[in-house]
Amino acid sequence: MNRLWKIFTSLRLTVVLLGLGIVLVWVGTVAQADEGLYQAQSRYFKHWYVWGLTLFGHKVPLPLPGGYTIGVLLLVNLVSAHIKRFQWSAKKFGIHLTHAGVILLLVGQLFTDVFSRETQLRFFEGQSKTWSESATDYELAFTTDAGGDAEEVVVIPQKLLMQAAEKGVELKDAKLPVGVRVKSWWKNSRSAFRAPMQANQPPLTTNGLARHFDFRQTGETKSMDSKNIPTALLELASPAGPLGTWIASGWAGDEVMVDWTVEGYEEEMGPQLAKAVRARLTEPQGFEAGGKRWALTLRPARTYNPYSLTLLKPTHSVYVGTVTSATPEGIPKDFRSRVRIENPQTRENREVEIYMNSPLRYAGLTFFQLQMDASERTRQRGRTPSSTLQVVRNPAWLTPYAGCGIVGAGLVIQFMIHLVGFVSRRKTK
Amino acid sequence: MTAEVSPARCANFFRRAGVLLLPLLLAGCDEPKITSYRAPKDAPAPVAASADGARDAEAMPAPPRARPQLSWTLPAGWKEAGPGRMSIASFTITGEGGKQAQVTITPLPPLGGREAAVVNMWREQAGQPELSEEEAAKQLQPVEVGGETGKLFEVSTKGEGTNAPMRIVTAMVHRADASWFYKLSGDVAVVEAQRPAFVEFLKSIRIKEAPAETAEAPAASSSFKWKVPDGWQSVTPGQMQDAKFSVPANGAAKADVTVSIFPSDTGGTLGNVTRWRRQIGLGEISEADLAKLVTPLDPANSGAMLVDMTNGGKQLIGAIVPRGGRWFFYKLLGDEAAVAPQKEMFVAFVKSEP
Repeated sequence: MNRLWKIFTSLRLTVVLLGLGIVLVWVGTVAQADEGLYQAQSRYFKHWYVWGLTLFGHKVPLPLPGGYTIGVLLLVNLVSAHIKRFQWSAKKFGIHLTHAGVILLLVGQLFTDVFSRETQLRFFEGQSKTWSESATDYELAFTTDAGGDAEEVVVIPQKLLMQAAEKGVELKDAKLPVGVRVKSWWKNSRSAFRAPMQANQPPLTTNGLARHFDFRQTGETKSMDSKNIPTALLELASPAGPLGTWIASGWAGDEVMVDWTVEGYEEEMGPQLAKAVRARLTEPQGFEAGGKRWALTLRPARTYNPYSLTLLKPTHSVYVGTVTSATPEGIPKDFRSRVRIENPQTRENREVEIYMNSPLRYAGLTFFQLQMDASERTRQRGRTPSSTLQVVRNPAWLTPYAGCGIVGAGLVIQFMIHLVGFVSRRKTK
Repeated sequence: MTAEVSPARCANFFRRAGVLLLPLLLAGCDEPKITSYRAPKDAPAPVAASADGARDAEAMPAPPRARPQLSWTLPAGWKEAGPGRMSIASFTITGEGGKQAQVTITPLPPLGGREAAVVNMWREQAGQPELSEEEAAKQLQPVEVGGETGKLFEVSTKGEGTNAPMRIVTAMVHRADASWFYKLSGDVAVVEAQRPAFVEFLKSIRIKEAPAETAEAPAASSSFKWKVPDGWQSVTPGQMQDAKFSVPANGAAKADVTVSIFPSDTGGTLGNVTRWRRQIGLGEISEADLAKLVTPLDPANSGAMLVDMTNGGKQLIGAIVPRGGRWFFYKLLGDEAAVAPQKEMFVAFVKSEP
């Protein structure tokens, strides 16, 4: 125990950990070029260890402690050393305060890592939404009419679908209207409209979406400018018997991808074909089970809120004179969204303006202005303007501010203690 | 004051701290599980709403027209299989060993000038790499289709899994009514054997044009009660438009009136007036300038406004009138010589109950 105690309280451990931290940050940053931002962040900084590094396109079979290990050991080292050498003295108050600030920073970072969640809210002018959705994760949603304007929803998260595909097991649950066997899970896929004059190969299945679209597995993307669009081949079975094989794809369930696909067809093949593509892509895939009519969709994972946000007016201003044939969208000057919050629980009903550096903080969430499609060109093309907000839940968002403030105050106090002492001693001499 | 801390005491501290932190950390680990809940149904995203439909109307293809009637000489061994979901005719061919090929005739929206996109669309389906516009153009060979010159190209697919390799021979002819696609596809050997017959089949196509459309365009404004000024002709409205009229020409000068109705003010007065200004080549204005430009239209309806703008021989008179929770956008746009004499009648029309 004494040996372990010595190690934990040693300054050598601090130096080693800081050195490893520098190496990890450098390796993790370089690896982003090959592995992509999200994977590199997850593999190097949000893990206990890293096995196998990627440096300038080469795989290096070396181990490295992960961000969690270095952070936790630094915290233990700092607290242990502080406890061991703790001396209550007014002269060292600044040092204690500085250490407390560093501890708060480390603990705060750990909490942020564990608890923070990021989603996106994309809405059109005049549209109200009570939910935001993940930019990376999808969910398989079964929906059925629940009377009035409500629907009953059963969702299976992407992780479970991937696990079921790997293990070849059938997903069964009392909440689910059917048993689901994931025959194939493609993390990234491509889609193509089976236009009548070109539908050549037999479709993947003869149900729903697959009658009109072909899907093909493609390599996983790691670029920040693109995203993986999953597609799943599902075998459904109700207690009454098998319901056949169905395709569920982010290409049909992700509003952003539907718009992107339709726009592409519009540019390439004209508005009439694009209209046909949209109609078939968004046509609900339905089946009967347990006396109810259900629809299935692979959509971005949603997070619901007990209040709604309505986009009243998105404003996309550009610098005067920058709209040219070379830059038809102009150079953006300002994006801002005027939104209405309606909360039936608190009877709140008010308007807020969200723009850069002025997010909306509401009910534990922060809404940042992220993207905007509301330019003059958008309106001229007959498209409804839209805005996308980044929705961040981070209960520990204040800790970096508080931590830095405490560290700063500690250093100033310690410096002043020394300065006052030095000046006093000079006067005495 | 100095505190002596034993290792055991310190270990105790970390144990306690761990007990406090662990549940918090575990709470943050989301185990994936199946969940169910009730939620409001997704409202459909608002339909594209541009207050100005004139540009869209120009961009949109003409309304569906009557198709010509096709007839042909059926090659030996081909069987008519009737029309498909979008094809007007299809044929099946059975080759040696029961291997099959199909022929379809499908009219699609006019795709003239987009040949490269069409070739690449086929190639993508066949798992072939995309070609540049020049390379795609090289794939096209002239072919006679019913006395007209079409373009023919071929694509082959590799066999994947249970799918056997296929060959597709496509001829396309762009006509005023549609782009017509004639496609021979199926087993490689059958398609190769039937290619000469397919080319002869294309030559044998006889096209009987549809009778010319004599009926006047349906008056989209027929459901409205408004009083249309004398001399205005109702024409088919474009996308996003609820009514459209052509006003009497003044020599070579022409002008049109369009009416669009939306459930919102679609960007406000400034946004709409700015868009209108751009249509006649004028720049942006500020809110202060807007107040000078706009004149109230109706004392009983404070939101109703009129704007009259001229630039380079073009004139645009626009009106925005909120009525019963809807916004009516009226626009008289054209050559100044044709617009100016219509202003009085336009204003009366705008004020009349729709």
